Amino acid sequence: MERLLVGNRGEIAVRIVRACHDLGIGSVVAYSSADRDSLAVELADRAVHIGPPPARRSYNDIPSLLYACALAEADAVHPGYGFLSEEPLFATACAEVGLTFVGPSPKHIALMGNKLDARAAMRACGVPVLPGSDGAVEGIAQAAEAADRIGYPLILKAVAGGGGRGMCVVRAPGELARMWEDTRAVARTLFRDDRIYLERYVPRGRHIEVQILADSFGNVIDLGERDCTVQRRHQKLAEETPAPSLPGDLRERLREAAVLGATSVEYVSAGTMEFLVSDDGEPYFLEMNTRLQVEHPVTEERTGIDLVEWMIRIARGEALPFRQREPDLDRHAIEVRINAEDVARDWAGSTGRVERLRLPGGPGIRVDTHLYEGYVVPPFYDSLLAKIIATGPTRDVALRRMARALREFRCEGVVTNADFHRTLLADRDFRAGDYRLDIVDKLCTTERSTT
Amino acid sequence: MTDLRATVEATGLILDLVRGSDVQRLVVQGDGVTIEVERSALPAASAARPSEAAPDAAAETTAGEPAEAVTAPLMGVFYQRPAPDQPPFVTVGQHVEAGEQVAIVEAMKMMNPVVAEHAGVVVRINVADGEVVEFEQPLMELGAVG
Repeated sequence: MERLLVGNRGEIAVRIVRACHDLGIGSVVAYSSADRDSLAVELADRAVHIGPPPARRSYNDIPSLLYACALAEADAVHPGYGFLSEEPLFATACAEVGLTFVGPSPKHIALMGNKLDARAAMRACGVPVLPGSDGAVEGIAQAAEAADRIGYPLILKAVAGGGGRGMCVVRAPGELARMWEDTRAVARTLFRDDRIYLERYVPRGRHIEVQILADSFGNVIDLGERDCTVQRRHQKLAEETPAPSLPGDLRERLREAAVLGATSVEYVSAGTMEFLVSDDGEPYFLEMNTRLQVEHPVTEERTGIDLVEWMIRIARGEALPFRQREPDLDRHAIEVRINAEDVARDWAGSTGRVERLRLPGGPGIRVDTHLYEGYVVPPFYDSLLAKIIATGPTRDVALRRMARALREFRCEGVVTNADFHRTLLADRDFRAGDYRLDIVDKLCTTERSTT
Repeated sequence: MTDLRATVEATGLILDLVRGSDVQRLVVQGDGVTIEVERSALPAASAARPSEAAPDAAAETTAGEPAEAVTAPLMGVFYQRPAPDQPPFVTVGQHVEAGEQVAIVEAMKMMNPVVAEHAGVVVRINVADGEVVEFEQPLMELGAVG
């Protein structure tokens, strides 16, 4: 592998270019007209203008990315997250033209991209899944039948969904018909696939995921779990590792289930097994993300293992040099996502020109961002601006460092959600490590009623 | 964006750069502006001719009027001819009408026509047949008519 093309933008493009520099590999960034002045374009050895701002004609356009590789003589592609990262056709196309796809095989992307197949595969190897319809339901009559068996509340999920989109909670039988139609319409629009299945809904659950690294020699290790319970409308806002206050042997069970699942399907590359943990401490497999995650830095900071580097090294055929339990798991790391979102206006996306920027630093602080003073946040893509990661020997130290970092952070010209994170860090339940999936709603309600 | 003051300033900087070097000819392209510096036999007599590219008399442009770059409508492979055994769409010095097809950019077997937005005279073709081109890469330059 001599030269790697980054088929992505924003902070993750910067992150991957940095990994190339660390490994001594050439870096090429594919960019749309909206990202001409981006940091990744500036830092990479070379940049290729692949199309206009709409992702459909740039970051999601497979031919343009392949031509960009040909033009820049890249022999590998890292898709980052989002865009084409979980599109089996892209991984297949790369293989067909002799490019190394830095990620899993098309087979695994397709398996895990189909939520029903993924569920079935995990159930078959003994990984716990939520009670559900075990297949797409055809028509409202069959949905009602399955709903009676599963019980309320339940959740309707698009077979082709993911990333928190295409889901709908049904609390009572009377809501089922309307929600059924709504979810199908959304699924049709978003995924061009309106097949829906049902699953038990777990209220007041926790969202905990396990990071996996697997090489092509059958070595599978887990790098510990991440607690991603701080979410709003299924979009993660803050993550930490290890998950605080897990009851009994739950941590071990989650990690073992993740390794078992990845091993059983002979997965290769970095991947994440997501679980929902019920209030009574039962874990259920949700989905597997067959790509690099936004929140990968908390695991990197806790373990000292560079996940992007290892994705690349596994893709070029190297074996993992560490065995299970070797990674140092003694530290605690927390990440907050600074998004261009106006919390006061129902978290509406914002754009603008970054007029004044002060990024935090000091012991235990890492910032992954593509921001610089004068940067104009384009309106076409996701709202992630920066990830602040605080690490310490204990959760308490990491929390104090994060509070310090948020005090230092300034970004004028673009409305961000930084104040939400300041509120989160001050919350008693969050500080105590005792929080559930309703924490964001709870914090936002409290804030409104006290002002 | 064409900003006259910025163009003049940039031209000055380019002249400073070229002065004392061996460069014979330099073309700098930006948004809507092309600055060409061509050195005559006398070393110090560099001439800045904003947006004028004139290897032959037929392609003379009106002073100050920018040469129009025809750019790639998408990423793909540039072709000058409709088929390998056919003559090119255009050659240097040829007059083209607005809306006339001047090349092809092929992507995944789809032949996408490249069309001149304005009428003009083909001053230069920047890309060789069969080369991969980026989105909006200037493929050829058209001088203004008259």
